[in-house]
Amino acid sequence: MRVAVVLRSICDPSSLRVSRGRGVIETGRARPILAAGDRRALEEALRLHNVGAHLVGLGLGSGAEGFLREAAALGVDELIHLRGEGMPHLELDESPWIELLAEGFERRGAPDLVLVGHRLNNRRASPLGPRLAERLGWPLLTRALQVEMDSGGQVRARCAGEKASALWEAPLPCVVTIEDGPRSLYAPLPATMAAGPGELEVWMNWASGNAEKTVETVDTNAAPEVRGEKLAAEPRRLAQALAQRLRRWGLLD
Amino acid sequence: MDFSFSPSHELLRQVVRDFAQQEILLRTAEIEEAKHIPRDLVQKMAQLGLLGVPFPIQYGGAGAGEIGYCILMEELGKVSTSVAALVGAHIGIGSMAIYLDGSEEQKRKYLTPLTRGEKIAAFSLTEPHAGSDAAAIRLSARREGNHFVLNGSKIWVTNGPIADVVTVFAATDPSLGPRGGITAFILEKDTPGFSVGKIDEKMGILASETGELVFEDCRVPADNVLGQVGQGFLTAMKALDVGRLGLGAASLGGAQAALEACARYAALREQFGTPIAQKQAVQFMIADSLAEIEALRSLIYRTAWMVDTQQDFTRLSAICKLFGSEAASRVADRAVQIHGALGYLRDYPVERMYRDARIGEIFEGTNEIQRIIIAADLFQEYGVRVNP
Repeated sequence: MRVAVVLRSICDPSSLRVSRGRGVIETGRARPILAAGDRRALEEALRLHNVGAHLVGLGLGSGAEGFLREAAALGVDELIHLRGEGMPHLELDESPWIELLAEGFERRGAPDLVLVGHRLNNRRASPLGPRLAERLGWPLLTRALQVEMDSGGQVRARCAGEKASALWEAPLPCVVTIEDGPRSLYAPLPATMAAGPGELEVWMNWASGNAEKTVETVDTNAAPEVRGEKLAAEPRRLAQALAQRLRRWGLLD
Repeated sequence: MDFSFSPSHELLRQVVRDFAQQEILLRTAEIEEAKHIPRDLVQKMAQLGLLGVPFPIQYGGAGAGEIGYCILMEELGKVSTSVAALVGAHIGIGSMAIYLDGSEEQKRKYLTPLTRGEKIAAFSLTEPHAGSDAAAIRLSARREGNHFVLNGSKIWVTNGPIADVVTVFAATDPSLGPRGGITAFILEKDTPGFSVGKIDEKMGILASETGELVFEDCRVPADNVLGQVGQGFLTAMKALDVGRLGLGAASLGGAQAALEACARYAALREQFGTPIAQKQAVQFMIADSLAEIEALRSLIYRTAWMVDTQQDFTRLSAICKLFGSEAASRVADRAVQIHGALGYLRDYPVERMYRDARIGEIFEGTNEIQRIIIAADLFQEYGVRVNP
């Protein structure tokens, strides 16, 4: 069972600057953060991972590299980064990102379940979940507090309502939006430092017709400290880094 | 030159910052009021791996080195000097002494549970009559068969009341002085003859637990000698060298938090019809603080890099502690001044920051001692041996 979790990079509101003179909000020095709702979705996805699901992290936005690394440290199996020149800030327009996701699923294989935060930030519900479900023709469950999948191809979610929660079921594949909640999960620090070899697939600009150039594979490992030609790291990571360089220089197959 | 952090260290900072902001900052008032750091918080820090950040993975650490440790202390220093003090005493000196001079067996037995946070460490050197003059310690250790019998007391021991493992320095041969007469021991808290008292009513770092340790015919196995008999003073100095850098990093975090608090306030507070941020008197204070913080940040991480690349760093770690603690005090003082009367109220964080910053100039070697270390290191180059 493949479960994809959407991890959207948005601007940390506390790092935005308002230019009174020019009458604009400056985002140039804004710090990227993971949308709070998506962090809850990641926590829910990891719960499904603990009962056997294969997890795919879908990082949206140019600032998502850090979250994908964190997702890897938390145990996410597969990492995909969606980015591209000319793509709008997620806070402004999610439409091109929905299209990129949908086309990516068509080209690279769709997951059985997509989890995404119900809200992008504290202020408003995000259209990404409902519109992705519509685009894919999949059922949608919203504001889920807890998600379970059974072997019969059904997803069951306890969803928040106005005054009480209710249990809903839908057939797979399905999109589920996850309700906000307090954060309870942090990547263990040893795992953040000792991330193993991993690959990050990149999806970009399919929507603008550049499909042939858009899939690349890059190394997501933490590069060990490099000082000139001197490498310093734990032995396992040091060996990996050395092998990587030797391959790059054509000295190792 | 490359001043960038590795992606792993960037992620470490992000995770530690998130944890500190969400799990510690929101509880700061509760923590200070209780005058101790809640056990559930210490447990959460342990689960995250925060209590073993610099140490190698084979001993249960995160393998983040000194750069990782400084990142940790900076982020903790931003939210709570008390929590930073607990972690600094646990990692920076208590566990560090075992890591630096412990045998492989001692590291497996003691360091691993410490890095995993299953146990908490303390470091006890200071005595009522031996503060800055650390070589004058009187806690005696007399050999009896396979044990050493300790008698005397220690004071101002950060984490003393909560520590499971204490690194203790005692005089095994007072006639030899610090070079040959002091031995380091690893002491377990349940050792008969060992007792702890808590020192309350401090000016700042109210939640950091400080203790007095009493040794009455306390029998420590000879296997628990840390390093060589008679070489304990060297062990203490090596651990303190590393610990001082962490203190400098915590000061950096504290200064940064004070600067952000007063800059936010200055942007909002209006006097004479404009925000006080428009006043040169305020701008100069903010600019001076930022300049000191940026200088300190460069100094801290350059020194951490020197530690991680096995270069000599004694002089620089003393400078980190000296400059960092005094810069943090100056920045906190300006933050209070910019807040005016409100800065004098307990309701405002800058009041706590001001009190908390002061300890940095005193513990783990007063700043006067740091100046002596720095001068002595310099005069070595000129063939002059400086005596304190």
